[in-house]
Amino acid sequence: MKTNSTEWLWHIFLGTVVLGLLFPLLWMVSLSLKTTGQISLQNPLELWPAPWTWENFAYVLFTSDFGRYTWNTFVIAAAVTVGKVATSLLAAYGFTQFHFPGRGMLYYGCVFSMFIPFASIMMPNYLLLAKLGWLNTYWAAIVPHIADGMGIFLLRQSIRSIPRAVLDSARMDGLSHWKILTKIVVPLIKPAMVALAILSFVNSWNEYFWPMLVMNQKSMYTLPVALSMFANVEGGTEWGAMMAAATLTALPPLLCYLLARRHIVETFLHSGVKG
Amino acid sequence: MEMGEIKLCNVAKTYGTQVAVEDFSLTIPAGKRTVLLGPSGGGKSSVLRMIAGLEEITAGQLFLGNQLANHIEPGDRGVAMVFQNYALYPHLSVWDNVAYALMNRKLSQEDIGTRIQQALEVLKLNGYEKRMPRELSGGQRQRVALARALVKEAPFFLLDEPLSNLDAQLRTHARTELVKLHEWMKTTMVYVTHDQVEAMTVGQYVAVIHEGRLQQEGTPEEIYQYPANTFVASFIGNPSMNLLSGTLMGDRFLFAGGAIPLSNRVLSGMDAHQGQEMIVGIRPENVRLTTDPGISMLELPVRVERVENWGQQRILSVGMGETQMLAAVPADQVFAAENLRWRIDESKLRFFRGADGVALTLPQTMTQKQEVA
Repeated sequence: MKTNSTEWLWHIFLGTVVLGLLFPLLWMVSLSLKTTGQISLQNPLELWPAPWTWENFAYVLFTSDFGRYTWNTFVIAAAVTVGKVATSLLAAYGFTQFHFPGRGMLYYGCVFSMFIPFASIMMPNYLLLAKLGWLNTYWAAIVPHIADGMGIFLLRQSIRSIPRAVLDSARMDGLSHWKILTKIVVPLIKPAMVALAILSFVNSWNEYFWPMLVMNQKSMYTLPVALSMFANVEGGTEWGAMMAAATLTALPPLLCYLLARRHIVETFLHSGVKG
Repeated sequence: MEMGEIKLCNVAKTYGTQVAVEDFSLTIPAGKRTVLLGPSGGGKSSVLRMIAGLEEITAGQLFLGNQLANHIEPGDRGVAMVFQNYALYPHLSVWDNVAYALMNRKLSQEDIGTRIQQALEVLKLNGYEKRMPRELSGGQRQRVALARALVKEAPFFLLDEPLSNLDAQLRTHARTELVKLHEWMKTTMVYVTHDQVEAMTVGQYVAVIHEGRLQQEGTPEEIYQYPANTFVASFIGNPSMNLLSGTLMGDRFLFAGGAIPLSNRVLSGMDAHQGQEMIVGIRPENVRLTTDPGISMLELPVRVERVENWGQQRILSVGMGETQMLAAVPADQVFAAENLRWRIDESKLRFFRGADGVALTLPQTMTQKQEVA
């Protein structure tokens, strides 16, 4: 049993950390609700916009190509998510259910690929995509992200947490590998799959650098890339508009996290404990 | 697939360089309950999993009925299996758990329904169809696992330590139920356990497996009365058989506790072992202790060193010369500490070769696996 005073200290400490983390978000929302005049004349740290205005949002939504950017981002994020979950699931099932020479090496190879810095594979990837003629297409943003070691690691861990006898039992029942995968494994590791899906979706949604490299036509921009356009419109930064766009961009990932935070927390706890 | 015996011919299983099962030959009789008994890690589960098709057979042949089964898929072998931890599908109801066993059969929905209904009824699970496994007690889960195997109406029924997750009381009950169930099913049943009491009570035929090899096969009585080697002798029975090492000298067995004179009936056929190391085994319940003044040559003086009360019997640790053995006596029997003697009943003695522990006195009907080897 913890004493009351240490508990309070913890609350104060954690509260401070949370405030620190929340501040940029609140500031972003606050700026998005101010006019350019308010932003340049008032103290920029003044969080409460008085009076507040929707003009930045109206500007972003109706005068820029915001719809197009959102669609681009969504298509890419959705495809990456579906692709990554599918490839990870199949790889994880293979690594857990089949014995073949070099299985361990191959698995650890996949996992260690997580630690290869993105910068070192950026150029080869770019050149390859250029050769394929995929620059400025969705393929360029989707294909390089469609499989990774992290997803394989996570799903392998959770498949391993299914008692072996349950899968043996399915084999005794005469279920094919495909049926074992779809009828037994997938329902049992759903939380991990949901967590992986959300993480992939959010990561892809927020990805800035890669889409910026491979998309150089405005019509193919994703939201994070488009955001940077607001940074220098005709010489000056339109802070209000930029923050409104940023707020809109941040909404879907936030919602995703909120809806699935339990799955995410559980998955990471379990993958640690049961490793 | 036809009902019948299961035949393993020189079967081996290796994992890399590790040998799990070696040169294993056994015929499991049709329609009977055969128990594979042995300590953990002895290879009995590997044998069962090979029969099930869950492990590939490294060498040798497996016949189910008369059909070579080495390469038949587990689902096509006509084999049903109950796992130690029941292995129910956690995300499916009791009904669906049982129904999955029939998913790949070409049966009409109606047939499937009737069969499931019947299996659930036999195992007293009606009313639980919609429950999830986590909402069931250990005993109920075990019965669902049985229902799942039962519904297949497979000619071969495998059980891997099916009772070891139940508490002691429930286990005794479940054991009886299992035997009753088998008498009704009449399939070829193979039952793996490390518990010798379970083996004796469930098994009509017992195969003792240790270090990946078959040590002995036979009825429970044969195995208990005439262990084929010192491993079986000490593994079966609780407390286990006393094993006294010594030497055969003329018509006497000399050991640290004294000398046991042997009759010609016993000595015949032991000429080759004269002067060799030998082990004499006797079960604790066959050690007869008496204070009557001895007239027979077949008596040795003993002293009681320790007494353990087991309830219906007492286990005495008795010393003879420089050695010790255990004697099981009825709890109400009283002993004077003075002049206590072991009155030796020669017919209860078992003789084993000192060098490798193989039995020297098996009845004619019995096969000595190791002597062939």
